[in-house]
Amino acid sequence: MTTAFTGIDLDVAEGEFVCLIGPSGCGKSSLLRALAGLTPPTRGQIRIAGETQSGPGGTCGMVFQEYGLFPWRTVEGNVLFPLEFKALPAAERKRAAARFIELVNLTGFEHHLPHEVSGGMQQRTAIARALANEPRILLMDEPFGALDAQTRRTLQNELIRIWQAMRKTIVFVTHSVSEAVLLADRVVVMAGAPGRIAEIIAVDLPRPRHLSDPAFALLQARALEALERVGMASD
Amino acid sequence: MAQFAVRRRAATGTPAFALTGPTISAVSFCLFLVIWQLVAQFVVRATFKLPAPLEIITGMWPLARSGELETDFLTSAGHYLSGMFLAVVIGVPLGALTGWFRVLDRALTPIIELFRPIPPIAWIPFAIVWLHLTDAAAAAIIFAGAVFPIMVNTYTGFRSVSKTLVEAARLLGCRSQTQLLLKVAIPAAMPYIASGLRVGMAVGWVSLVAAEMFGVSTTGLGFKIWNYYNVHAMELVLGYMLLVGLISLGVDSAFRAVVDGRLLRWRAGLVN
Repeated sequence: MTTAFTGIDLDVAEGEFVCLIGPSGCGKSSLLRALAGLTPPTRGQIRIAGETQSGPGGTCGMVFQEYGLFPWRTVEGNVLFPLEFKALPAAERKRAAARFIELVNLTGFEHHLPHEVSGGMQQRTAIARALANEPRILLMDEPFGALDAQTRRTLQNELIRIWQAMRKTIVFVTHSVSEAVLLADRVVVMAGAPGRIAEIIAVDLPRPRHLSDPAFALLQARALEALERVGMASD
Repeated sequence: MAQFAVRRRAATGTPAFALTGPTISAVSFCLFLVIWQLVAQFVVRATFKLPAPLEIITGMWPLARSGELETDFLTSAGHYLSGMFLAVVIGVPLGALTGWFRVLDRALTPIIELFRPIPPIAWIPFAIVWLHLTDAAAAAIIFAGAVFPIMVNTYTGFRSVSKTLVEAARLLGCRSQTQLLLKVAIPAAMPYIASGLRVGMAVGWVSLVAAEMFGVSTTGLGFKIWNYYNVHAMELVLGYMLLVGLISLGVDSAFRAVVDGRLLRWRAGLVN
């Protein structure tokens, strides 16, 4: 049995946007899954708002790289899924679902099946679905990895907009340094085998951020350097 | 035929008479019937060896009029539906449970695998011993044929439920095993269950005819095939054979239209 990560001591403030970056196999996805309660830690505890987590609960929502949408349900059906476990009348559920669908700019596509909409729209559905469960923390595991550059940019902006509207705590795993510096309040650089935190870089830039901004470039360079030190060659 | 050709021309500007898909099939089929009739009538000239299409029609028509075909069809349908019903009611849950719960898989699959390869008609002796020459015996053979494809495909369906979907569901509030089964596993496994049903239906139909031929029944389509062979009315044998085939084709097409066309629309994106 290999140790995925060890000695992780990380505090995330409420409403903060934290990005985890690091080389492949450094344990960032494992850490995310432990936070979600999908794979409980072998030693130590995950505490969210002072309470120890013991399994997947409503505290964390997760967005996967492969979307994880239920292919037999429409966009609306997917967003309704978490709402079906709450004691609400049907009309109320539909209204709530409609709100989240509007939040991710998918109004009009409620009755489409996942395979009938683009990758970017599928991921937006996944985000709406995760948010509909009203988690305290949104965990995102390389959510834009399967998308083309254009769609990726669009969704990054969308995500910031949603985050600013809802002020959710977000823990975001990515391979892309520029994405991390673009989105996060803090960038956590992880080293691998076993995973541990190598460095934490605070990103104090105001949003919206621009890649052409020299301050941005500086922080990106810092992050890249940190990655090189832990053994990841490229972006 | 003309309307298909004209539609093609209007769409693409090709010459007036153009061969479209349905036209080709229709022409080919008619040609086949004509050749068959001519070969039977002028080359073979022995109904015993090769009945001609016209002989089949003239032979079967009185049976249709007298209601004999109807009785046979209803008898066979009765055997078939009862056998299939049992196969679904036992096969789907068993496949689901062994596919979803590893413990049950380990416990039951070796036993199931022992009986699965046995051809359905091999069960005829025991069907007669336990149930005698009754409708129940015929239904039992159909059950023995249909239950295994249904079970195996259902099993695969439940084993193939994507881990990501299960994890997503759990994180979204789906806690108990029952909820997971109802809201995630069953919908996800539906295409496989449908596949199993289609195969089961086909195997069940084949088993039906064999069962009825082997004397498990005294009426029914399969029985008549053997019966008319015994009196050397081969045109009736072939007539019943074709009827058996046509019914199977019809049922399968209807199943596909309803299931693939409506219930499993969402699969279009995954399996093209």
